[in-house]
Amino acid sequence: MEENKFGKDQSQYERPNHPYRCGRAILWQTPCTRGPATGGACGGTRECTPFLKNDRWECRRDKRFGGPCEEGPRPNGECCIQRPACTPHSSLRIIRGRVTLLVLLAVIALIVGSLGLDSHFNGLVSISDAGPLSKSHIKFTEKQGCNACHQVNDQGISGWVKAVFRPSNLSDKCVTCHSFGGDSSVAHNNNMLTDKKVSKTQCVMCHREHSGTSKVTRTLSSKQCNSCHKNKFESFENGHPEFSQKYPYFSRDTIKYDHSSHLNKHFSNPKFSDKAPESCVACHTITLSDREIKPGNYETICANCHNNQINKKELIVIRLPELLQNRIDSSKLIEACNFPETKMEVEEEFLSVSTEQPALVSAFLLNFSEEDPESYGKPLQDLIMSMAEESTTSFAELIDNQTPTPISENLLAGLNPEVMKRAACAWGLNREYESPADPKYGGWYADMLEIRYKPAGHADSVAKSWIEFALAVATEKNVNGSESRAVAMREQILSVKDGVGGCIKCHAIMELKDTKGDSYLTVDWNYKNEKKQPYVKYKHENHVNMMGESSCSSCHVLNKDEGYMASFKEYDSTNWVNNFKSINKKTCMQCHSEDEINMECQACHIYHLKPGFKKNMLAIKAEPIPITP
Amino acid sequence: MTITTQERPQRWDEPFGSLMTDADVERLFKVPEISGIEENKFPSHCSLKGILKNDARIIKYSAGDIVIREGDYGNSAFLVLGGTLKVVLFPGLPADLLGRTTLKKKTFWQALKQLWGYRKFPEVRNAKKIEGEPLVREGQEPGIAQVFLQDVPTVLDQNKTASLGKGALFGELAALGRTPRTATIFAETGAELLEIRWQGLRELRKYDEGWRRIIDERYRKNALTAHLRATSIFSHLEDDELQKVSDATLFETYGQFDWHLTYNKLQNQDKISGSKDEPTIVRQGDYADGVLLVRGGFARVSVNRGNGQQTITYLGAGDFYGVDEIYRNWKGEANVGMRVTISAIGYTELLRVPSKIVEKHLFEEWGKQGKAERSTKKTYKSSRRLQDSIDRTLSDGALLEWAVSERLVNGTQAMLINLDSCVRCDDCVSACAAAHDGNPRFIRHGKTFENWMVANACMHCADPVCMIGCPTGAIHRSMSGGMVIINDDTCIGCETCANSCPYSNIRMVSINDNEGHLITDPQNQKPILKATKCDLCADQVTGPACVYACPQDALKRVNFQEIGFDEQTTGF
Amino acid sequence: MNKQQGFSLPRGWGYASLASLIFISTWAWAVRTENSLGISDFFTGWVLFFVIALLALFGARKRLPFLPLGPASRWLKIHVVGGFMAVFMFWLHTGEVWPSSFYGQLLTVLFYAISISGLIGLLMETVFPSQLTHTKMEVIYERIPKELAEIRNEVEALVEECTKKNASSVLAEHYLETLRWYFQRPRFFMSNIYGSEKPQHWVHQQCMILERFLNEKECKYLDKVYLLAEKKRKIDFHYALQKMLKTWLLIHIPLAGAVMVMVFWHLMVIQVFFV
Repeated sequence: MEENKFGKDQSQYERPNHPYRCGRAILWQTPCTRGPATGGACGGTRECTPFLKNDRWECRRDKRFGGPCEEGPRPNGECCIQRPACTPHSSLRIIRGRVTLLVLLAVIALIVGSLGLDSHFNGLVSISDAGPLSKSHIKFTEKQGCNACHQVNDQGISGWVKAVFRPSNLSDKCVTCHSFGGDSSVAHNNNMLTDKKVSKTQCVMCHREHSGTSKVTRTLSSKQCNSCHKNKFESFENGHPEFSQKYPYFSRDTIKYDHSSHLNKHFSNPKFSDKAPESCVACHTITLSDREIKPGNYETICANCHNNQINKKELIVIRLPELLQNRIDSSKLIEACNFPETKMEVEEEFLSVSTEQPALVSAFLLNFSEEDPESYGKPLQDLIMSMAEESTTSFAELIDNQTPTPISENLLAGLNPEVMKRAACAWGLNREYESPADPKYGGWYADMLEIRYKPAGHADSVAKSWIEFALAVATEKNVNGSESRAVAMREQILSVKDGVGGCIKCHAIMELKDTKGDSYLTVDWNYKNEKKQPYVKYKHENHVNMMGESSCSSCHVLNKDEGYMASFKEYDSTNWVNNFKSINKKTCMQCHSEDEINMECQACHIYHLKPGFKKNMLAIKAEPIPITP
Repeated sequence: MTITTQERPQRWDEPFGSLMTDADVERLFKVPEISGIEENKFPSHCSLKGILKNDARIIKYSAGDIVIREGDYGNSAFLVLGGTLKVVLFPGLPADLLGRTTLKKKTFWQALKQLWGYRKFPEVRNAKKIEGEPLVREGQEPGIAQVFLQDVPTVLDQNKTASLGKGALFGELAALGRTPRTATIFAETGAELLEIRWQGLRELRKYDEGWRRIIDERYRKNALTAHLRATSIFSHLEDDELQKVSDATLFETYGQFDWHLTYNKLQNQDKISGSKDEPTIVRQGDYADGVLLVRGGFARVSVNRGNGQQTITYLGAGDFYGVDEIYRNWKGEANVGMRVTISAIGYTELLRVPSKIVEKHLFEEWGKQGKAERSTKKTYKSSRRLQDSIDRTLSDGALLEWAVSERLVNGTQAMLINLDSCVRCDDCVSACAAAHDGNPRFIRHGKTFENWMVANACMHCADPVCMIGCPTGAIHRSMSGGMVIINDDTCIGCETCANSCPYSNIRMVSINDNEGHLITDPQNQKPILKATKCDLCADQVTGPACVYACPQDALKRVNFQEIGFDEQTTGF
Repeated sequence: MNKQQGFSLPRGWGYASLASLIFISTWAWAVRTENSLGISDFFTGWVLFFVIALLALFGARKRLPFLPLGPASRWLKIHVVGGFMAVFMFWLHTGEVWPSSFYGQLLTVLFYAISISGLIGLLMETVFPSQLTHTKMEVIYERIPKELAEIRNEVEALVEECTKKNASSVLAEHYLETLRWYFQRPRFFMSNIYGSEKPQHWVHQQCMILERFLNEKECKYLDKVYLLAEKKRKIDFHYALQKMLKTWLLIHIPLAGAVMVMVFWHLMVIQVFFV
């Protein structure tokens, strides 16, 4: 009969919580029945503890372990079955507990140890470094370490504890070097919503460090833009508002250049076709350009065709008009002009050599009506006399009197006093002045009955000054009520066809309002810079590089409407017609749409207002180099 | 090395009633039922006086006090010395009136305290408590909840009751049969009772003929009626009807009462042929000549399958079989025989109510009272369940087949481990140890079948044979909960229960003192032993710690009958 | 009783659904926070912390089996599901698979190590039990030395008896040369882990090669020795698998301690430097 190995005498309880196991079991021998003693010593060195009963030693081995043995205890009272002691081993539970403790201590030691090493092995085995900084920040923070941005590490542990309770002000540290067009803690660095309360922004909302050397910012996703903007939309294609009506042309040009007439008419004219630009990029350089593609300067792109037009249009400052009587003192004249003493034929009847009207410039300066010889006779002849005697002085005075600050220097730049004297001397004798040669080199000259100015070329400063003068004086309150004369002069000077230099043919005049609310006219000589849209970015270069140089017209479509040049007749620059049709969203969407190209907000928009750097960034590094002779 | 010793405990070290005096015993001899006993029939080590003094006690009850409660497991019988008592027959008192209390479980904080009770040595007992003194609790009787009824007249009004007067003997059924009390008995007037614990009753029955006759007769008579009353189909019968049924009932026993003694022998036999030797009660196909009610023990229910019998379920105490067949017969269906074979496993006590009686008193009554439909529905339902069990595949029924042949169906809380889920982590053993002061109370080994193991943990059997021989009553059924528990303080280490348990689930341990030294008997230096076994964590908040601690859900405490019927618990 | 026929939901599916829900909600909330220019790392970090703490509490629960904290099987389901969720939550929180800082790398290495060890443990706990059951025998791990010693003694007794009775030393010689190594202690550890049939083949071969050298009587002894060798082989199998099942925790739990230390360090550093 097979022994019941589950029987009460055959099998005893297993005690998994007992900390020791018999050492014999580890060696794959039969473990003793008693098991290790609680202190960890071997418990099975002997089978039983013999009992002395009536002078006889009796075996007291438990029945479960075999009952009393046959031999019985030794005469001296020792158990007969003895074995050498084993080395009890810890149970698996105990080992597990020890290993756990060991690992815990190891990790804690690693942390504590690494804290001590921090300064030497910056970042390499640092236990508190959150990762490498971005390329731009990594160098200058090396020395200071974490303290460069985080306010910690004051005095070791106490510093850390303090830091826990102090609110972190990382964003404040950023502006030590970074500057913006406005407050750094406001959305878009611009306090746009003054009536509403908006939360402050922090740099760390979008910019995260410790992400590795290649990254600085996170990619701001379009969804995040939606978090503040009331006008929320899904993507560029779905929901982005339409571009403004006039986009991207927000104001009237300052230089009147009719693309359509040029492209359609002038360039195909056989007279100019060899000089005509081949494509848009001949005038507009797109390399290194962003949003704005300015055309080249006059010399580069316009001079070829227009240069010869400029010096053809001259300014007449003084003209000998039809005079009714001679008021000029001939003796003074002879003295002034250094005539030889010959008898001057005094005619009984004065017959003016000129039948013209005086120049409008003179009419304005001397304040007479140019149609009325009665009114202009004396002042003009006085002027001629003073011209003969003092040449330019009096004329200059006249000019200077017109404006608060004397500007005759600008207006009469290059005027050789001889010109005025000689002309005056001739006119005083009621003769035409004959110029010795053809005034083809430009500048001030007198010819026949006029003193003229011939502009030398483009951006002639005298011509410019006269135009500005004309614009300026037409608005000033003329005490003498001679506003109409100023206006007449202005009209002449600013005439598209006849104005001096033909400047106004291309340069537009605009009406502006001054601080008091009065309107005034002005001309902006320069190419008008595009309105600054600080939050918009557009790179022409990338687009043209990709689409080809002849792709301009895919977005910039000529406006067939003829009103472009006509709108310049109005000085009010708010009403204008653009040469090109506005660019609308659909144009961009040809490529920037759902299935095609990147439509992220940041593709076209910048969040920050004029991001830049503060001087102190370099202040510590750069020292002024003393200039020594 | 210091040796701790303790006097070997004796049987009557702890008398049943600490207040019993010789004078009380003398008084008892005046009681007719006692005076009729022949004293010289009792051996010297177990004298009548000794029994009366140590295994019996006199208790006084006030009017309204409840003496025994229906459903409690009781270990004693009562002899009325004076006063009147009432037996509540039907419908019975609700639980709150009976003042039922549950076993006191530890509170959360007490449970938490166990964390600090980590012991370095196994099986530590507080030696100071037992050193030098016999195990006597002074001045206090073991806790009897003196529950009393609030409103006796109402109880009497609402319930059928019977009266008991002087000289009446009751409670011996439960004491001797290891079964719950069948009725609640309370004192109508002030009463004096002699309570005899069953060890004393056993001796009285053994050595005195008069007592034996009374006990046996009453056993048959009352037990029968009580049992019938408790069975659902007969429960609503009127008294006289029930009496007629009872009179006609036949009492049958099969197998041996002490089957556990031959159990081990059976283990080594060929299981297949062994089962053929089981005494057959009814055979499949036989004419259904009565309803079979199982009074005690177990009966195997099987069907013919090829050359053998397929076990489909088993019947335990309280179960019955045969109503459906008789009903169909009565309805007029032809050729209705027993659908199953019923045979005795180990020991079976049966009651057989003849079919004519059933037809007359049951079916006709159902027809008259219009209960036919409801009642037939019930029988239909149970017969459907039976059919499902019969239809179960061989493979599904294999575990039950095995459990029945191993007599594991005796257990109500068998520890079943699914070896396909068990990762052998021993968390169950650790938890058991943690819940018992560092000492585990089971071993994770045992009989296996396919991927199931029934581990050697006490199964809290329906028929706890371990309780039979205990001299002190240390091993007992708890008052509430029904689990079998060993009272460590009163255990004398005689190993009777451990030897009795057929499943080797009780183990003896030698105990140590607080320093870890063996506690031995000073006289012969043999170590003091205590019997230990699973107590189902009766005092733990969480219930059985083993189940609670298994991370794989691999360990469950099961009653095989429930697994047998419920198809849903196949995989756990 | 067989396993249920047909489809049944894997155990712990309820927890898995709940965990997925929590993870997805956390992710959604994190995305929402980022879109509103908040810093989602704090939120995801705390969620991750609580998940890790819950995982760690399982260890505590195992040491308190008598407190009513819920059955251990429920805790294990939560632990496994939570472990998977923690990995995804980790990736959600860090936003990357491998960080660039030393201490971040240390934390990540420890975290991955414990996750992988947990995964391997889970795999073992799923696969090994049924393999052990299929050996048709059970042995308690702590009793293996005793069992092996008994087998060894029995084999040696058989060999001795055979040698004495048959005056032939072939069996004894072979035992001393080859079989003694085998019976000394558990062998073929790795083969048993991989489930290879090598041990079976070895035992069969080493016993069968003797056949041609033994007579009938000796063969009877050989058969008994073979049976014992097979029994020992099964015990070896139990030893290997049960040892793995017991010792993988020796890696998992110390790592848990290390991870917790690093997590607390991480919390400290964040509080000091960033908050």
